[in-house]
Amino acid sequence: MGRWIRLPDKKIRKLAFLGLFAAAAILIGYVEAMIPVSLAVPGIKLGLCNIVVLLLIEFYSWREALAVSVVRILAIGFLFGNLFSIAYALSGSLFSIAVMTLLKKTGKFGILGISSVGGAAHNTGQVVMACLILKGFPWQLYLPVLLLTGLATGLVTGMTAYLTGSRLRGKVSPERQTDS
Amino acid sequence: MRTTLFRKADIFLIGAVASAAVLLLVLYVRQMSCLRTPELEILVDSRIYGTYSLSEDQEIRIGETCVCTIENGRVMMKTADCPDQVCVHTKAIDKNGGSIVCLPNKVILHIIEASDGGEVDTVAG
Amino acid sequence: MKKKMRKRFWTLGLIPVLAVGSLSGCGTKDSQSAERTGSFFNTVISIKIYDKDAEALMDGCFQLASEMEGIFSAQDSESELYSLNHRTSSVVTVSDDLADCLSEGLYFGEISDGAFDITIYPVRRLWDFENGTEVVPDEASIREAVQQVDASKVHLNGNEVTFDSPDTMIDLGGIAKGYISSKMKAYLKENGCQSALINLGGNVSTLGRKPDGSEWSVGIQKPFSDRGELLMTVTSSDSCVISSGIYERYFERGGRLYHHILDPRTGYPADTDLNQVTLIGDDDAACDALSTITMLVGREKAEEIIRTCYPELQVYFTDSENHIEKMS
Repeated sequence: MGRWIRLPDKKIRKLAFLGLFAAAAILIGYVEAMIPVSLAVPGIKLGLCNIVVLLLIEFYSWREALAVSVVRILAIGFLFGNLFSIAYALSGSLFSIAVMTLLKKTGKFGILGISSVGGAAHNTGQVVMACLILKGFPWQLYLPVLLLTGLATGLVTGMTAYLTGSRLRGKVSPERQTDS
Repeated sequence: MRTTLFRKADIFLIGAVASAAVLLLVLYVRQMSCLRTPELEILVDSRIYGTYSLSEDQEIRIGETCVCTIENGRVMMKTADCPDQVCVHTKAIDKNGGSIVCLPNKVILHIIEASDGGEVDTVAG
Repeated sequence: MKKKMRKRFWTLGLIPVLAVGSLSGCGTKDSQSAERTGSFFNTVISIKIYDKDAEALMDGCFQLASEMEGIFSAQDSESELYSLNHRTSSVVTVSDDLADCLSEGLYFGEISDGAFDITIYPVRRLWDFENGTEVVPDEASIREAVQQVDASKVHLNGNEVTFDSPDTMIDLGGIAKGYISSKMKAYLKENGCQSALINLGGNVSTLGRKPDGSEWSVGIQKPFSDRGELLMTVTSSDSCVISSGIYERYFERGGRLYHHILDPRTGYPADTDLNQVTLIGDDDAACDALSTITMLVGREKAEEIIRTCYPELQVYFTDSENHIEKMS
């Protein structure tokens, strides 16, 4: 029993915040699932969850972002989707997190740049998965459209993340993992 | 946030991705407008199910799961047994290109160039 | 400075992509080829061959067609089948080709529970769909002819055919074209040909692919429309596309449609809800026979037979409204 009290404060704080982020991500995902998809090109997911991913990359690292994303995807997937939607979401998230982390590492880009390209990357990951699952998938049409919409929604999520992040500064656990 | 909101490099980054996307789109639209005889190709689970002329009004049954229609040169998914019904709500496609996809049923309806410009090598039946 | 370089890089990068984009079209390789059309088996046959010896092979194919007509034509008084039908003894020895075809015909009679019957000739010769007389035979003649239809009266032992009755007569119209196109493909293949398209009166058979590597594209005729109006297009390579339909030969009399797919059990044209059926597979004779069987027994029964005996075939059913649907 005594062991619990002796855990460093920081770790518990971090765990608590991650839990909050995960809950937030699931909530956002839930809301997003309610919004009807576009009629022209199906499969456009707004990618609002990227707000949380961005914050996690900013305050922690890609590991935390990935962990929370996986939790969110599985939760939303089992509630609303199926095996395929989980596959698409995972592919999109993975690619998006990878791209955003790399861009951030260079230190040359701002949040807007990172998140808009991250949004585009998210959609690209989904298209790639669709092509793998369904040979003959007409990516020549879907990819460019989704790249553009990804950029657009990415800008929005980027701005939102920035505004949220500024307010969270100092309140979220200051401990950062060493960058990989 | 430690990372600033916006830096000049962002313009190039976004610009590059956007240009690539626009380029791909232009190529696609171009390819579609170059179709001398566009026709509908239906793929089921990556195999060609069949190809159909757009000039012929017809209703096509795709396996047990979907039904699509060609009417006045436009293709629409009439019914499908998938839960999300996205394909049914997708805008109709016509000779200008496009595609309707039913991911759960692995059905793809898309416009392609008819082989031999609409002329088949021979006719059976 | 850095920004300028970056801008330049992107502009330069786009140019080759645009250049590639403006190219279009692909060429087809030129090959030695031959194309010929002729009249055999009461119909038009058309063959296309791509091969360095295309002309010679074409001659060979037409020679083969002529030979086959000399064996299988029930109307040609000089054919082997004619002599078989006008035999003087109940036991006749026939050529390998005829024996093979008879054997296949009897087999399909079995798996179709007698719907497909090669002894249908007595019925068939009562009807005329080709010469324009358009007569509906009287009931009595039909009944009499139907009595004479019975494939179980034919026994095949190697090249020896035994008939239990002198009235039994053979018509191989439901399977001969398939048998012949198979033979033609075998002949072409033996002689090294890798690309050919054969159309025997609407029975299409393909060898390999077109010289440019693409598959042959075969249109499926729309029933009761002008020749060339299609329901759909399929691709074929090393397979056959065989379509049977009530629209191929028919006449109308007294408001009813009489077509050439006669039911050996009734003596009258088959009455199902199908306008046409198309089979795609690699056994030409089987597809030919099965297409006739389908038109005789209807969709459900045909699906049963095909699923049991030939599950790998692709089948398209065209109903009376010309809606075409693939068998799953």
